[in-house]
Amino acid sequence: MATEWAGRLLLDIQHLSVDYGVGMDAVHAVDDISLSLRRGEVLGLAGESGSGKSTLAYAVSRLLRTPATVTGGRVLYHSHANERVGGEIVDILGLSEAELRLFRWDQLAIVFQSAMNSLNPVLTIGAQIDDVLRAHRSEMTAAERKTRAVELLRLVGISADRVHSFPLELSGGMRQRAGIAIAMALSPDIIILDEPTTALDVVVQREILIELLRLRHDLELSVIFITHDLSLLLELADTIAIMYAGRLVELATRRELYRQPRHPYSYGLINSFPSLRGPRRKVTGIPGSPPDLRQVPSGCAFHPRCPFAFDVCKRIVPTLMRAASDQPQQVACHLYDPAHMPAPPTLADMAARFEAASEGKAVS
Amino acid sequence: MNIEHQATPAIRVMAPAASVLEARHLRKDFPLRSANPFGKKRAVQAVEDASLALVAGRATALVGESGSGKTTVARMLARLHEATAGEIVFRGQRVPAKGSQGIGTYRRAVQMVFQDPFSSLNPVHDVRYHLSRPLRISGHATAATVTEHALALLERVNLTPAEQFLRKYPHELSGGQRQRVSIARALAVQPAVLLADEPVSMLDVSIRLDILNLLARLKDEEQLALLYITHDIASARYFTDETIVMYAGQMVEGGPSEPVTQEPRHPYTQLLLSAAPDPDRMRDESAAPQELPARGEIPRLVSPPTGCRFHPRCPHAMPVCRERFPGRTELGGGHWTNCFLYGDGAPATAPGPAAAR
Repeated sequence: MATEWAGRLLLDIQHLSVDYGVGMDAVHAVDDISLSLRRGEVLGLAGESGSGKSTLAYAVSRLLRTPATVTGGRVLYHSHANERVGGEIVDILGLSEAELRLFRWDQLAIVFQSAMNSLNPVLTIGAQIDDVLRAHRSEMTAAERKTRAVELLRLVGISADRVHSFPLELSGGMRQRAGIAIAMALSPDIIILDEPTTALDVVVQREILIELLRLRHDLELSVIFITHDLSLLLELADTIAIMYAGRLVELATRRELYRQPRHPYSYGLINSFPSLRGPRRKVTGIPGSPPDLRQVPSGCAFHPRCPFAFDVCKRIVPTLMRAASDQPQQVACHLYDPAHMPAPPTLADMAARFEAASEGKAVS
Repeated sequence: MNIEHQATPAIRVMAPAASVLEARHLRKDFPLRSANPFGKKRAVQAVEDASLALVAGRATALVGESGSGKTTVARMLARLHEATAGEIVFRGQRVPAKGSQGIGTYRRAVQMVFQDPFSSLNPVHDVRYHLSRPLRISGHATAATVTEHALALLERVNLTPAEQFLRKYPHELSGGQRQRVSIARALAVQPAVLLADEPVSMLDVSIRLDILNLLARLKDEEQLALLYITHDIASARYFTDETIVMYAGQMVEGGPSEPVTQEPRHPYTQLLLSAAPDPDRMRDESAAPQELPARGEIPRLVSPPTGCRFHPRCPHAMPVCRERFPGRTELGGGHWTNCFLYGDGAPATAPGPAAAR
């Protein structure tokens, strides 16, 4: 995939599709998505509600329950990718229950938005870490487990004396950190964070993000960071994937995306955040609202909200392709297909169109 | 994002306009129930000495994290909470207590828009009902004209074609549309003051600005005095004229939004700004994440820190900060702060220490 990231390939998601329900009424929550994650990389998944970003994470970690089913694709995990090229490749979607039990938490851990509420209220933080280690590292002695628990808490910035604290004695930010510490207990290669800081205040959010970036650096951790807050990803992710209605619409490094978002949706999303610095200017957001996945618009799902939409957009679903032949940035938009458009829009065109759309728009 | 599509409406000159609604030294304690009837009575000291003035046609932002007391201030202004101490002055007159005569007029003039559009509309009633009730009760419409008025309201909040929306039920509307109905409902009684409590934080990011731009337009058109409560200081800067920052129930800094967000003086405002997500930092190309000037969270307000409640986290804390809360120091141009670094209620003589930045 198109990244400049140099680390070895760790996770390779190929043409993954997930449906909720079956038959005619099936909702395509994730539709033919391919992504890759390298060692030490922070991959940001951005999208609004219903974009399929959480479903994708659940599918990768095999946490989907009926009526959700994976209808196609593979999720290849390159184990020991750091030691030898290629290495052993397993398809996570094909693992048996027993294999999955060994794989999950050990190689891939996930932290949910409500991780701070998913701690066991009647066990101390230390006991909950101990639990994980006892189940997965039976060779460790009690003393070793205790040392490890303290070490993990220190890793996420919690002082050692908190080992004996119950969750209710900790603030929301501390509990979220404890959740991350538990996820890190077995030193996984990959950690998936699903809106890990959304419920937290900005100062606490910033503290946790700084901590995460440090962990990534120190432990060569690979992170999949899911959020609706694109401004956050622009600061911390290496690669950013933008999803809309279950499909990938743009894949770029954060610098490329910041400098020149190619998809009109990406442009609109970035411009949905008023700026904290520089001149105050009018920003418009995107007209309309995210689609209902039960009635996804034909062709490009974004076309009813897109100020650039032309007739092809209503008929043909665009595929991911390079925005320009000399760049790795990928976009799924007919504007970049020379067959339909002689010249792709510039940033100034985007600004003008969105401005015009916000003036004459009706409903959102 | 280096494109400037349109200059924002220039910040209006701060004319000494008469305030519509004023809060003077509001205080709110929420008593705690105790298992021991003889034990010491305890209370959550949610707001300590909050004063603000809302002016017609101007937006004021109240910015703070959870637990800062910003919502409590709005609820006191809306008379949903009775203030423990202090007074509320509406058009020069003291607002009477809950349940007394004359409170009805006040309630009509001061309307609130809530955070959660999914629970603030009644699911068993359609949009027509939500709009016609306030129209009829306030006497702004008769049975004959109520539909016409409701349609006009929907058009004012950009819900068109209005006829279609009139028959819809909340579950048929998206979050943004519901919030527009909530705003239309508040406008139905022709209020003078609109208190918007985090009106966009539960909406999808791409539609937040639409709602904010709508509120800004309505504020101008109807000359509403708007209080915008938010945790997002960037949006406060974007569309309000004045910004007030609260921390743990205390107002720590305020003034015209531009200086407050661009040259923050209080250490807490500086912390808040340095923690806010800001893609424009990318310009610096500095890969290393910067360290925060202070850590920690808002303290529990049952037994808040004495003096300035920020002192346990403040990198510049002095002994006096522990003893009492500083008075308001004017920094010029309407910008003020309550911080000993800049004085103690006296006009600022010495500029703040460079270390504060």
